[in-house]
Amino acid sequence: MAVMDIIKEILEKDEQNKNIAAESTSVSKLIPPECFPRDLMVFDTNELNIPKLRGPDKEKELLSLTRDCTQILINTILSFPKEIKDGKVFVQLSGPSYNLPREKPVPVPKPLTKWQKFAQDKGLRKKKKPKSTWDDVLQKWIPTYGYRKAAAEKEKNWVLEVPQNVHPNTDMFAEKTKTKKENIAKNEYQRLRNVAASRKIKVPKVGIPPMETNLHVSQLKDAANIARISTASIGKFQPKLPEEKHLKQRKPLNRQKKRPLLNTDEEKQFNMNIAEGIVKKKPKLNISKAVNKQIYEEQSQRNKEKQEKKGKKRKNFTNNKFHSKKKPKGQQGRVGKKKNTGRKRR
Amino acid sequence: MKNYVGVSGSFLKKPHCIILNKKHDILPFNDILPVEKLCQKYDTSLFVFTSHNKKRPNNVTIGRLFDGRLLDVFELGLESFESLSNIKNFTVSIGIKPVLVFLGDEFETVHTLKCLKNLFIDLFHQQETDVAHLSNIEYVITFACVDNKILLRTYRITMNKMGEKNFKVDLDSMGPFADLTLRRNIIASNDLFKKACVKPKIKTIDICYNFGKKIKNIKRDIFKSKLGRVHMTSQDVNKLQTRKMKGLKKARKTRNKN
Repeated sequence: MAVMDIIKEILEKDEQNKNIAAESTSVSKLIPPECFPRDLMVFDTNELNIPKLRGPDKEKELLSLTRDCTQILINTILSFPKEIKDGKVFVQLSGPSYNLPREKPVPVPKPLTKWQKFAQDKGLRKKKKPKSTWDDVLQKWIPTYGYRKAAAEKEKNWVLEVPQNVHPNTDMFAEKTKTKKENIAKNEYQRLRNVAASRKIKVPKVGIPPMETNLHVSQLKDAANIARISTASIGKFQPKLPEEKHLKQRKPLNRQKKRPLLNTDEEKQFNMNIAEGIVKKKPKLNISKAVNKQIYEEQSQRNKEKQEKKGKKRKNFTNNKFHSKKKPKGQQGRVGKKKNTGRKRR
Repeated sequence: MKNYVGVSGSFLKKPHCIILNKKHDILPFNDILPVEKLCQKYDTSLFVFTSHNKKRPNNVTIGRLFDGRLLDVFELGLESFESLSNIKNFTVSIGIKPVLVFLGDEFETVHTLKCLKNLFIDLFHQQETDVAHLSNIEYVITFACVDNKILLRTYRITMNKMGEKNFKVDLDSMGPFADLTLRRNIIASNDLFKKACVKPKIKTIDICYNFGKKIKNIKRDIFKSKLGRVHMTSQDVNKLQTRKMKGLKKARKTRNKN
């Protein structure tokens, strides 16, 4: 019996202790405070006891309020699952997170270049080039780029054939370097164009094409337009040319964009359609135009006949200008300053 | 007083702040540009600026930037202040995340105070954590709104174990203590604030593949354990120190040469 009593006592004590612990750690509030355990924050929206906070017990009141709030936070933190790492107890936190403004705006993905867009539409995939390839002429492995590539190229192309359509005395090596440089320049231009497109900067069209060939009207117009704008004031103070109207830039046509062809069958069908269209083409008959043409011809014929008849009874041709009754007025044709005559004074 | 604010404030934020002690002719409410320039220079988005003049004595200006431009600023007047160093025997270990407590419903109902709360959280809160260790919770900063004044109090936490699982929290006053009055402010427009609060949607695939960036020399095997590869220069076997024996000693001539 004595043992049982002792056990009972111990159990009671333990329960009491537990109760005390629960009492000391539990906090009751009218409105439960909002907890953000991941941010370690508590928002207590209960009304404050303002007269107490004005009086001398201000600090005590603040401390007790803060203690309650932190106690609630600690209690919620302890309710989360625990983890033991390196002999220390860690708590796995979860819950809502407080939304704070960012320091910098959300990064925007880089816009695709013209080629990347095309490749994506067409479904092209990048093929990995081998680092070096076997050359049958030199009988050795040659790197595709980089160290020893240029030397190998030099060794391989020590002589170059002059094609038939070129003057026999042209330096093909110089030609080769020239084309290479042009390629590099073109590449750079395309790169810059991509950069401009990504930053939404308007790039003027390449205005003046090579002058050796005969230019089309539209090309000439473009060139004139660009020349007009290419002043320091962007053409603001440029005087108008006599036929300025024609120089207005045309609006780009609203062409329907064609979908890139995906497979060979489709491409073949497309090309066949074009070919059939050409073969089966019939000349269109514009009736009003044809009728007008007919009328014009008839009229002109009649006029001719009339004139032939008139020519026989032709009278003296008189010019009204010389026989007008009015007196001639001076200074009508000339506008502006009177022209100085005589010696130039300096 | 100004100095104390700087020192104690910076102490709480120690690894994440820079103190600029030089005298400046800057008035953030008249011209924010020099502040923006300084923030750009040091790559910071938050700033605290202290000034003292007859019209506005003991002035503390707290503000933040978004994309290098001003988002919001609050000017607060210090009425009473007790710094961290005034109350002795307590220090905080560096880089510890404080518990933030906001008392009073004004922080939810009044718009300016709501914005100020957001700013205070931005200033004192550090990164969100998923894992916490109880010993890393060291101090509380309390903000209470009484009579249009903001009472800022800092307390040190001590936790006593009660029972098996529970901890009882006790607080000791630590400092800095401050009573702040609201003065001028500029609050961000709703559109700008919304724009600043945008959270990008992140795909799980992107996280797995490190946002398209190649990770070199790190692999994961079937059990998802990390395997790293370390590149080293080739070892010179000739210089390897083996067991020293008389017979293996080099001749004097060769030794001198080397």
